[in-house]
Amino acid sequence: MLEVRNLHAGYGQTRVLAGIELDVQEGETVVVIGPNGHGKTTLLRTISGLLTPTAGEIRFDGRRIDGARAESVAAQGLVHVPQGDLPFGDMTVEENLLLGAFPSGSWGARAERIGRVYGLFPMLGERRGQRAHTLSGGERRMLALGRGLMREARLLMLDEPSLGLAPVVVNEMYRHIEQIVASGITLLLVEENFSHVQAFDARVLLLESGRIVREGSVSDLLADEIVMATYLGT
Amino acid sequence: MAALIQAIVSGLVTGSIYALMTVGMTLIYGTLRTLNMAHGSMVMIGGYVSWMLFAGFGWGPLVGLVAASMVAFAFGIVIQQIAVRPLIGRTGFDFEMTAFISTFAVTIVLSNVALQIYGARNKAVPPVIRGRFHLIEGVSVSWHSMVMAAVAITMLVGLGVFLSKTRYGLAISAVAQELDAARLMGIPVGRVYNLTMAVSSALAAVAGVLLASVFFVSPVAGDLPLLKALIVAIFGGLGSIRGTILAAYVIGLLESLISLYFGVKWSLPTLFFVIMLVMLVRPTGLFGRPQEARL
Repeated sequence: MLEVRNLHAGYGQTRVLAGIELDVQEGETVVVIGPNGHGKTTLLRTISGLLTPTAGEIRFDGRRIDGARAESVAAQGLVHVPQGDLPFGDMTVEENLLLGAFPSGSWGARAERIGRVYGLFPMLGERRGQRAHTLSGGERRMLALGRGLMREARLLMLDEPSLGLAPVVVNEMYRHIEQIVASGITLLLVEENFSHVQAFDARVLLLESGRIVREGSVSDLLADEIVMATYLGT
Repeated sequence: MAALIQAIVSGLVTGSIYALMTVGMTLIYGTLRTLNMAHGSMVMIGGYVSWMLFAGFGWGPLVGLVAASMVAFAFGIVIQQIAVRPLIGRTGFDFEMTAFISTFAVTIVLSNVALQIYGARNKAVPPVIRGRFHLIEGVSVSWHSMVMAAVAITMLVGLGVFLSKTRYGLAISAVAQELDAARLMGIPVGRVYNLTMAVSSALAAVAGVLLASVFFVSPVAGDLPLLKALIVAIFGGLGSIRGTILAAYVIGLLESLISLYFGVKWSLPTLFFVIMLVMLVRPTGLFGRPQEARL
């Protein structure tokens, strides 16, 4: 469903991605882990079109999307929940969610979808009239995720859902993500911390210095001594 | 006492028209992050459309309101396409400043085109309704002023509903507040910029039609409105709609009170003094927040 070939990207003179190869099959959960500053966020931003690659190809459902504008990639069903959540701060929770259903295919079903999101995150329903900038970090994260679920996602990309949250809230976030995965969605997840994704039936890629350096199931990587030494310090 | 009430009433009318004139400028600053210096020209174009319909067909300003807003809507799209869009996303220079200059160039071109077509002579347009309305003993308002205030307030309320309740209205606010997130929602940013310019221009043209019956229409009819709109927009805090509307009424009242107590000649100098004071004491204006989403 998603094919990334020899992808290079960066900011100005700074090269961040140096030849990424990545495939995501329909219905699969793929987790990209790696230390901060090695290109995980840049990878997602390049796939979703916020950043233009300097070389390489990205195909989504067989169609080239490298160099396409983010708004047209989004309209094709690629949902990217970005780092920092980027809520529309002066708008209410409900308005934020409605905007998640902007593409014409989803707008007609917005009432039904908003009900589903409120079912998944009852907190958002309670705070529907509250402005987004007044939410706590965990609530903002749930709003960002809920906003992403407002339209039909062919592929959902989550950028470090645990970032900056208290451990209890992280666990809650991952319970929600497990629920979403169980609904059969195709997921590309980026995390710095290996521990959150151990429970997932996922293919794990290790991103270091802009390249994929290891690939395997969760248990493969758990058995890999070098990986363990690098990421868990054991 | 009657004079004071008279001044307050006319200040409120002036404030309403200032709000209508400026809110588009605010909207554009919120989404595109630049001052649209062609905004005053839309006031002028509104005036000419109204005059042409009157001189050509004998139609009054009510028809002019509809026609002028449609003409300016189209102008807004064209100006965004030729003077603003080519500058967006170009690296190496400051978009805010270059778009400021390019839209100012548009103003110069439009004024001179108007001069070529219509000549320098002032054109007069009749009011929507003639006569005056007697509020209390010694205080009267022209019916046209009442219409101006009513139309302005209706348009502002309509704009508020559009921005908070409709799909593309919400999209305008989304682009203003968090551009990357808006793009990730699939919101077509280019189309939103067009729409913002179009709606803002239409609002200015409506103000232009209303003002055409009070002042005259001329190639420079947009200059003073542009200046007033800049003062109001800066006072209110660039990009804040609430701030703009409040500032418009404060400036409108201030102007008419100064005219009452010190004479009309002091109104513009005082406004400049006030705006200098605002820049020194509170550079972000009444409701402005630096480096933040504002709509």
